[in-house]
Amino acid sequence: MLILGIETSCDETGLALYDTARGLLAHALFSQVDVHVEYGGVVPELASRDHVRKALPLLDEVLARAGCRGADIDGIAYTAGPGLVGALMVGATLARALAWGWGVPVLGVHHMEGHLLAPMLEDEHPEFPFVALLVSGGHTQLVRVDGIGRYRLLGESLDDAAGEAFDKTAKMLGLPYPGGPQIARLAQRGEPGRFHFPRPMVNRPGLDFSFSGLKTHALNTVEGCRGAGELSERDACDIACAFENAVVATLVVKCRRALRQEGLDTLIIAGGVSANTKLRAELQRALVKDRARVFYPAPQFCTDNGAMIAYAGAQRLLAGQADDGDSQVRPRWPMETLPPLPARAPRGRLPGDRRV
Amino acid sequence: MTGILAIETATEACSVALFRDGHYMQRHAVAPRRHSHIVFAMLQELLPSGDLRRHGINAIAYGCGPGSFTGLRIAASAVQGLAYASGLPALAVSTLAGQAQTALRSGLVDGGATVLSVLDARIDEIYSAVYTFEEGLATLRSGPAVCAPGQLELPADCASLCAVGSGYQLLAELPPGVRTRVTTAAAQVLPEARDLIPLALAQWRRGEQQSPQQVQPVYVRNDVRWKKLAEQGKRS
Ligand SMILES: Nc1ncnc2c1ncn2[C@@H]1O[C@H](COP(=O)(O)OP(=O)(O)OP(=O)(O)O)[C@@H](O)[C@H]1O
Ligand SMILES: [Mg+2]
Repeated sequence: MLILGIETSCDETGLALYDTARGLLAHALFSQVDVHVEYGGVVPELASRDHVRKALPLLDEVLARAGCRGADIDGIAYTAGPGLVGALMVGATLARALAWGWGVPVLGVHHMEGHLLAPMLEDEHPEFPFVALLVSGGHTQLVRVDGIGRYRLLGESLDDAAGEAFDKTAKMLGLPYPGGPQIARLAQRGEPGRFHFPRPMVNRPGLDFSFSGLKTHALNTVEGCRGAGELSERDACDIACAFENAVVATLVVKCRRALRQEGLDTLIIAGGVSANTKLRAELQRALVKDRARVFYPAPQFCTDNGAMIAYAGAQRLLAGQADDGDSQVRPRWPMETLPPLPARAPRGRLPGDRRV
Repeated sequence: MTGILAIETATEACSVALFRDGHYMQRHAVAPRRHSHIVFAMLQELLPSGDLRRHGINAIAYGCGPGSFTGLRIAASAVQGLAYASGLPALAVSTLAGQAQTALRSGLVDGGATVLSVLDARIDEIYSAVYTFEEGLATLRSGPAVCAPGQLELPADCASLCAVGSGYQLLAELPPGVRTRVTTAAAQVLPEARDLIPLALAQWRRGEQQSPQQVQPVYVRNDVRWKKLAEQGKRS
């Protein structure tokens, strides 16, 4: 089954072709970062306008790269939520219209399920059950995953998402949007001991997170350093370093706690912040001690992309799920309400599987 | 004979029309905020899914705007997908021209009239354009433009105008020089997909087809009132 995936939930237009027998054939992405950078964040109306401009050129691109024709496509998956309603609407409408014209099934996919399954696109991929840490611009969640559509929320952020905290702190340091990679870059040159940021909620039981205090702490530190003048390069690096260390340490503590609580030895991390190299290194170090393993997506599939949507949609379409006439986009959509796949549902080939 | 499918979703009305073998069929509903869903239900009622060429369709027309931003994107995305999948060209028709054409077909204006076609553009502004009819087809005289009603300017040679469309409520605020030239008004008109078709057929004959990639909304309002960092007054 050849599945087209379309992602337009926020500020990236992503398309991909996934074949359930051959794996990922092609993917293409247009990032609108340059459109939004002048505004310091995503402007929803501009994001929607850009999706309408970029989607079809990207479709041409993935078809050409995969050496396929549109008529070869057997089903279409699009991001139906959560996300910006206007942006979601563009991908959903295009997907339905293409599906109509080709006479193939179409399915709205949950964006975070896409992120969560992105590690499955790798040669070395995890087996169910596992614990997933979803860390992105809008989410910080720990989820127990027993199979596709079998999710139990273990904990989440009570306020800002980790990616959001990165972005806001970056803004305070005068760094452009999106701030995560910028902070990581500065942090490498920072001196670890100079500032100490609190590790929110690590001393309290449970698996919830809170990052808004960290943001306030960052603001106070910035103000303190700035005094009357400008923030020096060195101050900025040291603050970035202390901030990143605090976020990473908090995430590591909660991941270990979640694995122990659930009695599992496999962790996956996904979402934009999972691209962070310090987080990857620290998790690796900590989990080796616990005899647990950690999996992540390739860096280009950590942030939003069409491949993860094509993969998640392919599994569900293969099991016979599809939209009915009533489906609508869902800007807010709890992942736990997704229907589970039947235990013996056919499964698309995974990259590491031996060919049949 | 040319077969045309037409989609119009720029206002609170949503409609899909089919012109085949000289006959019109249409589904039309006033359904604010439900266009993305209803447009496919309407399509389903008019045609079986699959390659549109097999059902005698040669081109797909759409109301390209101005109008509700989300509505315009629903029509554009739907037409992009349908045209791409079926290998058909598209025809972009102004929503304001379509509305003038709807007013003519409904008998609210006559063929000799000069029409001021207006739509509520929110934040106390209107979208507007002026049309006359040539051989029964709305032909642009001025516009389209977006402005506060008090700012509206008309071509000097328009002595008397018929105002049509939902922007009419705001006409009380027209500059006096303009208001006195508006002789009749029909606020209740909403543009319908079937009225895009005569205009689309004329474009088809003139060879004004678009590729699927060229299918884009014409927003008319292009400043989206969002402050850039430099304007936010923030220290960086
Ligand atoms: N190397 C990095 N280190 C830290 N954060 C990063 C890094 N790279 C990206 N990010 C952060 O990841 C976020 C973007 O991730 P993603 O695209 O998955 O989020 P989103 O799609 O905006 O949100 P959501 O998926 O929750 O709807 C941004 O907040 C960005 O700063
Ligand atoms: Mg995301």
